[in-house]
Amino acid sequence: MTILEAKNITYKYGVGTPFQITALDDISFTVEKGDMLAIIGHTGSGKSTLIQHFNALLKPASGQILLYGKDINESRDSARYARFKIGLCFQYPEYQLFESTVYKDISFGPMNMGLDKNEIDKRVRTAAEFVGLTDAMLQKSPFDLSGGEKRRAAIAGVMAMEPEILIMDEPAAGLDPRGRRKILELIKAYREKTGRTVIIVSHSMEDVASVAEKILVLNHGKAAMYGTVDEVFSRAEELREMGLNIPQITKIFSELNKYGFNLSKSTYTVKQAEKELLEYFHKGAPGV
Amino acid sequence: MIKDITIGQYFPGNSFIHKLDPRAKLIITFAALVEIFICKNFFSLGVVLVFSVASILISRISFKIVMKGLKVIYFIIVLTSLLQIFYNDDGTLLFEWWKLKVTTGGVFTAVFMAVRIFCLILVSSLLTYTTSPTTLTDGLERLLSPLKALKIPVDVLAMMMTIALRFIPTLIEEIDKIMNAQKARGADLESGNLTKRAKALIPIFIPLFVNSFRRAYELAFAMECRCYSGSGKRTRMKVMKMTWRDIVSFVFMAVMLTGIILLNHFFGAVI
Repeated sequence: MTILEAKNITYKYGVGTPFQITALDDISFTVEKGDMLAIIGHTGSGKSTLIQHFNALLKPASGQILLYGKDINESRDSARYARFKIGLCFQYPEYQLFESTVYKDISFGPMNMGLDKNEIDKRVRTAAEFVGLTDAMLQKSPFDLSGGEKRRAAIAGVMAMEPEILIMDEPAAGLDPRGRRKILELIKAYREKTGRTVIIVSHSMEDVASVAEKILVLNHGKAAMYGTVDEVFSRAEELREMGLNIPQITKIFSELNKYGFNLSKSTYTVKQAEKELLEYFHKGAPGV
Repeated sequence: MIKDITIGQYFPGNSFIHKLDPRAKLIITFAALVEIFICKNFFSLGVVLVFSVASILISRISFKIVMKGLKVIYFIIVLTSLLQIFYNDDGTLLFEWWKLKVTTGGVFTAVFMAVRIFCLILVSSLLTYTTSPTTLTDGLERLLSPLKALKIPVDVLAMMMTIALRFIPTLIEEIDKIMNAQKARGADLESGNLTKRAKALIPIFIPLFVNSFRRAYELAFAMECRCYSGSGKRTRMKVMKMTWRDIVSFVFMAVMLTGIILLNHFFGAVI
């Protein structure tokens, strides 16, 4: 079932000034319910601009965004409805924490939705548990947490609104490898447990490969490719021309294939590679 | 909305005015403001109006941009002119309605005030349009350097000003980001009464302050790592030098000042 549809979205910055830029140029695509979509693109390709449209924070110059078939920019109420149904978690969300305790900060979203106290409490605790924040941490000031914990607290703040679509802009940016892995695992677990739609924006192909199922590639404000991970990563040459890349492990495998190995072309993570190689050796492949 | 305000912005260029020494430009701007204020009749006012508009033309900054920047001021101009029309009872009566009297004197002062404010804004915004904030504070520092004898830390103050100016665009961008993030969490910034709206600002200003302090610390550390100390004797990469352009401008301002005084004297005062 189609949950979100972008129809010919065009957006320009600085209209009427000499600095006018077309940030989005006639973008159309659909998101199915339960999709795990990654939006990738070079810096300045329009990724962040695009996701702000889904939340009615920006209005397209032309085109429509349909949530369950209804235009979200139709009225103020429909925009507000979209904000509760589509949770948007910005880049470096830890810079938006403001309350005196983590608990209160996470409850900011649900409170704005006008839920009752018990429901808010339930949601805050579920979200906190999900991102791995303990009860003791909930009572702390958000400014006393470590960088990774702050990030997770901020993500919990969006998750607690229980949006049908969770959009995250560069969720792992600026974290150390362990924090990165933790956030990505958390996103995967969230998706598996709730079955909700998740969209992540990233320029790390490794991250994308480890979580996403579908990929939308943006290039200079245009939707350059849209398809499954296999479909998109099989066009490595084109990706490189856009200043993007395929995961390192995929590159290694394709290099190995050039030397006469017969390995799978759709290997995107180290785990897959490990399995693949073990199988390969067990079979007693030629040349080894 | 915030981004539309162009007053205080710098538009790089290569015109006569851009090339003036910042110290000279500060003095000339000050002189121009004084000259605008001492105008007493429409002849002298005409001179400063032509001067202001001509300066903009010489600076080659598009008139459209300048007018856009004036948008914020229109309200003040209109309000002052209206007050002048109704409060001034000099001259012959043009028409009367209820308790309001409109006289020729009122209309004259209203027009006079409007043109004067217009010129003031044009001249003073031209200073920032054509001078980058760093050069401007540099110039100010040099102009005020005699105050060092009075133990006023002019260079430290100038550095503070440079930093403050430098971070204005950063802060505007940051406010924009935080507002969007809180809106995405359902914060309602646009409706409700005054107290509700004031309360809605808390989720925006607390992160803004926290981030500003964090940034200030980072900047201070970075400056210390480069051995910055306020009182150090620094040499400059770009040494300011007065050129023929500055001399010509000074002479021109002096001539204009004399002209205005003469015009004021010979044609009587409107104000």
